[in-house]
Amino acid sequence: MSTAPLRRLPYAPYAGAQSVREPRLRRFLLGAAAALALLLLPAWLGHVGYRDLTEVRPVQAPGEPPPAELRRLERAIAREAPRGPYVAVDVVGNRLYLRRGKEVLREAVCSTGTGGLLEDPASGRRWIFDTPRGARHVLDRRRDPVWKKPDWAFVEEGLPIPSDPRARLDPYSLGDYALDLGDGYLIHGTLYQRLLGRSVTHGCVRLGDQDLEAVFRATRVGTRVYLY
Amino acid sequence: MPRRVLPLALLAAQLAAATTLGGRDPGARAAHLEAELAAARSHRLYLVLDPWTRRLDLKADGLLLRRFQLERALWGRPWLLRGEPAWPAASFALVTEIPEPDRPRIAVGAPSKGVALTAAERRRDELLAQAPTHFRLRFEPGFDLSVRGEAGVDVLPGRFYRARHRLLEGWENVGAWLLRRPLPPRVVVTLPPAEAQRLFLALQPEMRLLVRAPP
Repeated sequence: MSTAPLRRLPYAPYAGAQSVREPRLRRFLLGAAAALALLLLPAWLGHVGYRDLTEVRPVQAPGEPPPAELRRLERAIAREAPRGPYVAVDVVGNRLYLRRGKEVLREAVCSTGTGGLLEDPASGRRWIFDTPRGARHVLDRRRDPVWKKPDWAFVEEGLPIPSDPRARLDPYSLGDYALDLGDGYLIHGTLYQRLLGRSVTHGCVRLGDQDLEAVFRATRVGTRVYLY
Repeated sequence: MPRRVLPLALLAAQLAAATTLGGRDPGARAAHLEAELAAARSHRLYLVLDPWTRRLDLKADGLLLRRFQLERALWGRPWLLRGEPAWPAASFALVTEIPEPDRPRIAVGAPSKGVALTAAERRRDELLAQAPTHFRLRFEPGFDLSVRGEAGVDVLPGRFYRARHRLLEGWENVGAWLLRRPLPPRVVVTLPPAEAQRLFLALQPEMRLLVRAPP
């Protein structure tokens, strides 16, 4: 066993740690900055050369009359538009517009489809209650319409589907008038006028009594209906 | 020195390319009208993008049904673009599949009418909330439309918010470049979030997009 006194070594933990940590920290920060730059570079490159299009100079001087060929094409496009009144339905905003050209003859609050899905637990059949988008025509106009309830109306209420066709007839729900848009979709009245403006239907477009009458009187079979 | 000049020259060339696009062809306006005439005769809904007036119109039969006023419209070609740009083609068909929303199920049974209708209304709200505010639509022939529903485009928080979408699209471009997929030219439009959702809900499969020629 040695009896020599222990030699005290120089002890400077802080100075030594600093000398090791500083380059590491610097390398870490530099690496993080480089990684961030690399990450962001495509975002910047993805827009290099993109310009606001309003800055691009027009080809034709302002005020210059369009050539005859362009006028002919513009007239041809205008001829595709309906000449008489037509119906436009804003399905998301639940608004119906009766228009002629650019003029709005009547604006009405309506109700459109919920977008919900109904599945018959017995048969597995499914129905989606969307109001379809697109351009349609009025295929038929009916006064005092009688609704022939489809299967889903019974499934939704948890009732058995009747075998007797007369059990499907409902003379009250559709109101005083109905415009047939095809595929079972109608513009019709409603018993639930307080719900107008909300998306609560099974795909049809519901209107209040006065608006429905006005639309019915203004339209004919063949009147165009735009749903968007 | 040449090492420094080369990237600058490339950048200048890119900018020059962007400025010379935009339908300098005098027939571009006629081509657009021809395309709109064909779209009007299809009796389907279609979109007309007029980047010069910052408008995106939903039309049918030549009639304006709804106008989406754009806050900003940028035209560009991705840095890594390969192949011929489609511009100034006038008519494009949507090829992006519109995802079917997660439709809430309607309970079978006979609850009281008032309860059922309130639930139906709530379901519709859920569907509206599902519509995205940011989406990228691909059209054929090669053309992309990036829709960004952002409030406060020109304020600093808006710029930060926008950065994440730019980041995603930028990396998509890099991915396409690495996989040697063609990168189509693109218009980036910015409009309020609710309007972007409305635009998304108006989309239909294979819908046509017409891009107006310069006025």
